[in-house]
Amino acid sequence: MSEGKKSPYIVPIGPTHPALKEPVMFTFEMDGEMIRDVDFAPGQTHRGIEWMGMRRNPVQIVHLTDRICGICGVSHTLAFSRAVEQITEIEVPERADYIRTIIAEFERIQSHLLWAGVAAHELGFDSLLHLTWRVREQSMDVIENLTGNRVNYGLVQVGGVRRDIVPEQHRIIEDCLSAYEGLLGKLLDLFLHDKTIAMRCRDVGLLSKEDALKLCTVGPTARASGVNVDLRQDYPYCAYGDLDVRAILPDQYAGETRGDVYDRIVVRLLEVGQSCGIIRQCLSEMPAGEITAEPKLAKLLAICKKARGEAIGRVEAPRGECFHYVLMEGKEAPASWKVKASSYSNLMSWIPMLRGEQIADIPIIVASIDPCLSCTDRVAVVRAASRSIYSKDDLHRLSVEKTRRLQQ
Amino acid sequence: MALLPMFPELLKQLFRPPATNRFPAKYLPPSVTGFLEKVAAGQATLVPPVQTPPKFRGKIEYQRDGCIGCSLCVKVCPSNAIELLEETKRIRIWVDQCIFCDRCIPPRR
Repeated sequence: MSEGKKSPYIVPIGPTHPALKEPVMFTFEMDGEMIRDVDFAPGQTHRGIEWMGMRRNPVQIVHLTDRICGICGVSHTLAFSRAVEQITEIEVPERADYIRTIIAEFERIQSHLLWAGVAAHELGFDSLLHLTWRVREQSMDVIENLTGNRVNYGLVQVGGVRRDIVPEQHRIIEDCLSAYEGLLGKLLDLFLHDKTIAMRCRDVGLLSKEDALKLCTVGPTARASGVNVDLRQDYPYCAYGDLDVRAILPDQYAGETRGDVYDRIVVRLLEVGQSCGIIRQCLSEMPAGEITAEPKLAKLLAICKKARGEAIGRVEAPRGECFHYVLMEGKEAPASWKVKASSYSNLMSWIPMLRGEQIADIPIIVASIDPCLSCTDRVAVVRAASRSIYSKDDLHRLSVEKTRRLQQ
Repeated sequence: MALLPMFPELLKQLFRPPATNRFPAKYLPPSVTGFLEKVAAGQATLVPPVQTPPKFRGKIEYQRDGCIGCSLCVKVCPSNAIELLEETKRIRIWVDQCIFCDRCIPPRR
């Protein structure tokens, strides 16, 4: 056999694989241990959510958007509600905006801690995974206390929120925040001063600032490459306009931006601290008043039914910008609804990150952008040009041919 | 040690109680029904269940007497788990389809 045939060696990983938390199909072109090129095919978790949404009214859809993603339930619901509120011209009460901000920031805390644990796990550092997830549990308990559920919160609705934050809950939130602020130094120490993590993450999975801009990456992935983008700073929504939120860039901690996996850990851990500050500020500045613009559901349904127009809702989810487009044409259900989750923008950055790296670094690099494929998969490609599908007849023919061949 | 900050943390963990919720029995009993019978007889004790949060959204209960058959709950149910029975103007709840979102409770209030 000639040398040309041996190389490149194709390694398929996925669609379901122990190193990947969600189904995605990778095809690696290997040159020894080094990745020469990579391609991926998402679309394995398409659930037809938009199709379901177009058969439901906005009051029902907010519970559907909660379930687009298990981690960023608030972001999707908030983006959708904000789009519908613009179409129906509902003005959200100020107190509801603050409650929305608080729950969105709690979501960011738990999402980033979850990610940090997964990152440790992908490096084979399982004791750190368990520690991080134990710490994360505190924020889950607060979310449970505020909303009634650990996931699928069902707190945000069109026109406001469904539950108020009562004075007794301030103490619970305060306890959690002070615990986190005490723990953050320790977490930073455990993650960033660890020799193993530094060896595995420094200068691994590099994404230059140019590539990050060219590929339109969003959220912590973009910020870790030095791109100063944060929707909370650039286009403030909810209560963020009243707060002073500045995008967190890795050079604030390490003094330099390299755009590697290590920088992504830095950005996410620092954002946990930032979120604690935002929640504390929200709690102290939260005005009194109504929590929803229209408490009567029948009236809210009538307003939504009359509404005509289109709008987009943008929210800074833990993973980046989450974007919802809604078109309403005077019917109960929206005429069109498009979801673009943050991972959709971030997935493309896998290719420059993975090129030239080693096969053992694949899990941590893939995990480093915090991919959420259940958020991303809006379309399933059933007929790809390069894939051939054998029908029953084809298989039968092949079987008959093989039997004949063996008989000869 | 400076390069292994996790090490002292792990040593401390040896002396801490487990963070996870405890299983109802200390060890998995050979027969669950047998164990529950023993608990009922007072021979064994059950680890108390974890507290649910305030205003926990659990299984919905239908109060037939208060219902006026306005069918608003049918309209707002995200999973179409509530069916209006036309003849009696009462509803039927398909609990297997229910997502426990509590959305159908406020219209009645």
